[in-house]
Amino acid sequence: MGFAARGATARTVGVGALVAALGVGVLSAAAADEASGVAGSPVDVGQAACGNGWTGGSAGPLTFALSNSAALVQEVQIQDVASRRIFVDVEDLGVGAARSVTLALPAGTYRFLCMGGADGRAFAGPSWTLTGDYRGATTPGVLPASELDFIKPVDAYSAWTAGQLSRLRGDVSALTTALRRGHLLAARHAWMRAQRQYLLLGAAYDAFGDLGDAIDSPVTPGVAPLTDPHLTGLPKLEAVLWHAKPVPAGPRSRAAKRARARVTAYLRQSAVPVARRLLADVTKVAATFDNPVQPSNTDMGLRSHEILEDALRFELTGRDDAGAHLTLFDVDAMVDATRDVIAPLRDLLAERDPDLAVTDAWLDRLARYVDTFHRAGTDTWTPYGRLSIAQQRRLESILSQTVEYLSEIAVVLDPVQAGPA
Amino acid sequence: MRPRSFDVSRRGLFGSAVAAAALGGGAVAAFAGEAHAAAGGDATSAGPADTVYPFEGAHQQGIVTPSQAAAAYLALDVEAADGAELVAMFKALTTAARWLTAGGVAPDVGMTGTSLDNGVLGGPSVPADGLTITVSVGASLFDHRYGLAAKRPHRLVMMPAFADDLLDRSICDGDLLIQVCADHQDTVNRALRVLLRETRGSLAARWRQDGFVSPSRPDGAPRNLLGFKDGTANSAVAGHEEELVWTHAGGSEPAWVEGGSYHVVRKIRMLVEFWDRVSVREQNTLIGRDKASGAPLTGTEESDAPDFNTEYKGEAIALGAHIRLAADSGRSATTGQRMLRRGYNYDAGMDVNGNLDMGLLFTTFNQDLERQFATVQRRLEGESLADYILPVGGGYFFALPGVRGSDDWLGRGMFA
Repeated sequence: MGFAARGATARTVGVGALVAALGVGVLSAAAADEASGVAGSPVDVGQAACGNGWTGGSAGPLTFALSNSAALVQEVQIQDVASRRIFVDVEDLGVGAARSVTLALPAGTYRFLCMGGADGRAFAGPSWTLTGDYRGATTPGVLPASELDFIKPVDAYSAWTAGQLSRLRGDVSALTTALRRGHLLAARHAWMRAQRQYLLLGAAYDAFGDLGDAIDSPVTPGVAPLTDPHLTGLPKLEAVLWHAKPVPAGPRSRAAKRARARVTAYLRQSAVPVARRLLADVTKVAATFDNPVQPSNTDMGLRSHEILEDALRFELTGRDDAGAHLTLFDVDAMVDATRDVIAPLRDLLAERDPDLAVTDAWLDRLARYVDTFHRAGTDTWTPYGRLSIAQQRRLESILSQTVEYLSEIAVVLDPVQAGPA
Repeated sequence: MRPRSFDVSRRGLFGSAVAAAALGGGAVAAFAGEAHAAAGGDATSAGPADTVYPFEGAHQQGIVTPSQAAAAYLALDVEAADGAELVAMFKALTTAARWLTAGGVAPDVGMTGTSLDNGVLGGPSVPADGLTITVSVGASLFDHRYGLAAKRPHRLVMMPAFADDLLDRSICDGDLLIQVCADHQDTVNRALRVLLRETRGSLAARWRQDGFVSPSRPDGAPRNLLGFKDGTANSAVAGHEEELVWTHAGGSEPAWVEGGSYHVVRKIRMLVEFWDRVSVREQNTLIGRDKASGAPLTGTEESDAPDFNTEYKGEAIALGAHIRLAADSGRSATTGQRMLRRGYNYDAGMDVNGNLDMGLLFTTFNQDLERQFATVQRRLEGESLADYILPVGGGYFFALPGVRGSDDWLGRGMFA
């Protein structure tokens, strides 16, 4: 119930109250630790000495000077004994180092956890209690996620990615066929399917290495995509497909036939070789993916917001547009890609992120707004450049708020070392 | 628990007590001393170098507050989906403004999210640095979207183009204006970023301009970028705020406007290359004051009242001089037109032609837009100085009444 205390915490603390709060809780604690020169009540967090120096006190603001007397780098947490929630995680506290931490805790029973890295043991200090009726704001605690918690989600996501890659291969294969036949509109449609399928893999980009860049090469700023020699894969095909002009269906005139033949020749010459290479790259990725690389635990959390950070940075600025002007189509796919990353994390988040429903609601709101620029049942999306300034601002506003909420996922799921059982 | 789908303020939900906790020993000493009034009258000095303006009061800060050195003006449009989200936005702004202006570190979110603070001011001992955050609303907020039409302050309209204006509407108007002022630019920067972050889904930035107040050179009112002392006449407003600055309920005004003020911002570009090619004698004539001393051309000291009586003094202050037109034919007759000015210089780099884009963020607070600012502005139409200045942006806004207690929030009266 991280937010249950909200009504109380919304209370104003003016300057006078600040002074009062400082006077009660902190003054003793805020005095610098003589030994370490760091502000706060001195607490030894060196392995077996874990928690020495602090035996409890009043609920409310606390400042501790944590010092590491052990010969190992320490990770230090303050844990609520009953709920096992932690409030502070100090990582990489060096040998002989001291660090000041500040937090505010309600009455309860707590302990320090001192973990000595990969080779060291995890120690729990003695329990201590805070007493008194403190009504001010307190530091919210979290149920920490450990590396072990990520085994299932990472496996699930990897399996999902492998399935998606095989679908992507099918889509690129269909695209190649359409290009070989020289049907421009069919090829554009197939390209959109492949592009969407690739965007859905959002979280897995890093796992594809150089092949990822070949499939989706960055568009060089300031260079016409059609003539950019560095452009490969999907963006290169986009440049070619949207450079060609569709010949209106209908007239069976000789001129129309000639025009269609020209388009067919152009696609066979300019696009088919690119598509063949793309198919080979996708096939290679699909064949080798589950072999070497999986998304790391941290990646999954970070990707929860980074896919849409990319949308803000590369889509809404037009930087990733190689000619199709399908910005909103891309963003729509990126919303789904984000949902797909979060899906295997839901069990972990349900216990840890009281705002998951809010995050979901903003993803829905973003998808709904983006969808207002799509003519249902067609490939037609309003080009971003045709949005009014007011519409562009609204999109930016909704997308920005969404990534604000998404960014919390990486923080609450940042794995910390588990304390002793 | 109530539905949270409209709640965009969860980052600002934690009170400020933890901020207090994090203040180090140094801050304790700074706050422990008995609060005493600073030069501004209502500030408490939290130490030799820090100034704290109380957030709560009948009026917002940043109006009669002595001008701090640095400012940012940020005009935004509201993107809230409905009235409930609009209310949540005002509450989120209030919460953030409260802890930002109090000084100290941001509320602690522990390990549940990224820090509310951007760390531009470091920590744990963070000064208030004279920070004020003044929130005003534009006429467009009272359109059909949120059902607030009946609550519109009576005089609040879209700023019209005056005769000498060349307005770029993309840097005019806005549903909301946030004026952030502090003793240093870094404090303004930190506050601006926090405020934007707290309201991403409900506000979209429309235009922004930063400003600065120069130090006194060598004394008296600070100089604008024409090189003239500016704001000398403000002393005539002091003590008359109830009649000249604050709006009151009653008459044609809705009840909630009590304690607010009409907030006019005009981005006036100064064509400084041209101005610098004009002799100081001619500049003095255009303004009606002596450039070096700031004295009216009928006096010897900056503080001397200008004498506009041409019968006795001839035309020492030319008939078309800026201060004569602004003051009309004599102060006593136009008392009700006086307005509190709180301008900032701005410097926005160069335009595409390589000319300097700089000038004045003319800012004034009025009890009655029409009686005060608009009347004086119309008198200035066609003034000779208009060849050297160009109003290009800004807008009419209404500075909300102050936050009157710990449960109050900015704009609450509009929703009552």
